[in-house]
Amino acid sequence: MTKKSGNREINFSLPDLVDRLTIDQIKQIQFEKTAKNYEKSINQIMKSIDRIIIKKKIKISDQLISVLLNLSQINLYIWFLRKDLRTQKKPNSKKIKLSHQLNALRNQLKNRLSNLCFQKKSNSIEKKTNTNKEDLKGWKLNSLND
Amino acid sequence: MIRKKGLYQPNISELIDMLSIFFIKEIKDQKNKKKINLKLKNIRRDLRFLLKKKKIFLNSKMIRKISLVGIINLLVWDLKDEMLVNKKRYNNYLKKALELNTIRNVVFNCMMKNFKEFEENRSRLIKFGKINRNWHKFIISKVKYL
Repeated sequence: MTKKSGNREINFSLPDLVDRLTIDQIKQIQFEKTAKNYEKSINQIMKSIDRIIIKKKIKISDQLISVLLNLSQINLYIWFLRKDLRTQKKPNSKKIKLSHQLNALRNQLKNRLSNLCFQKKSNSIEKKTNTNKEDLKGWKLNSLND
Repeated sequence: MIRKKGLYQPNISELIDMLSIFFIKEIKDQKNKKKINLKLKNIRRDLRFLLKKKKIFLNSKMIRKISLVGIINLLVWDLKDEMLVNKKRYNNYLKKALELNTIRNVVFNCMMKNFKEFEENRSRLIKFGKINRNWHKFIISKVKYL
């Protein structure tokens, strides 16, 4: 759990906040009519992120950039799949499985982000455990093979 | 990429943009896996070299900018694919792709300033049309000051 803010005990971890930021950013671009609604939550997420990382002075590296790019794109791939599923009368089981497997990849990226930002101090109970890609093929990410 | 003085080579922002495109190719173009992996390796090596000289620390605005570059480049790729398949909506998709490009360009120009590498000749066009849609104007107004 991250440190207290005001009277609250529970806060989102950095990887969850970054994940949330990318999803809200996707929604802001895709849902044109309600784009303004997402700006408020994005600003709150950004404020929460800064609260965690500003004092840590984490230097921007190629690894961090790679993980951030991959995480934002994986969330968009999952979005595309879910969008397709919503329009189908009979849900395509291959696409359902793929979105589930990509979720595992997404969790691997979130764990990697945590390791890069906090190194040894990364909290093991906050780590995502659903990281089994099963028989996923063709999604070997450069940023996870460092 | 060997960096030599006096040559016109990509700066950090251009490398980040390039990296996001090659991450898309890493998934979409499985036939050229080896070449793409080599390219990714070189882009990241150059990024490491350039970032080493700069003391730039991670914050939420940078996270948002990097995510936007990743998301927009993938969205544009997807729209360009859709244009080939769905001819009826060709103009709608093309317009959206061009609008997204200008948003990404605003972010790109902003990143160049953050990385202290802004050059007028490298800055990208941010104007789409004489009169832009409200959604487009809104997003630009928000990312302009990131």
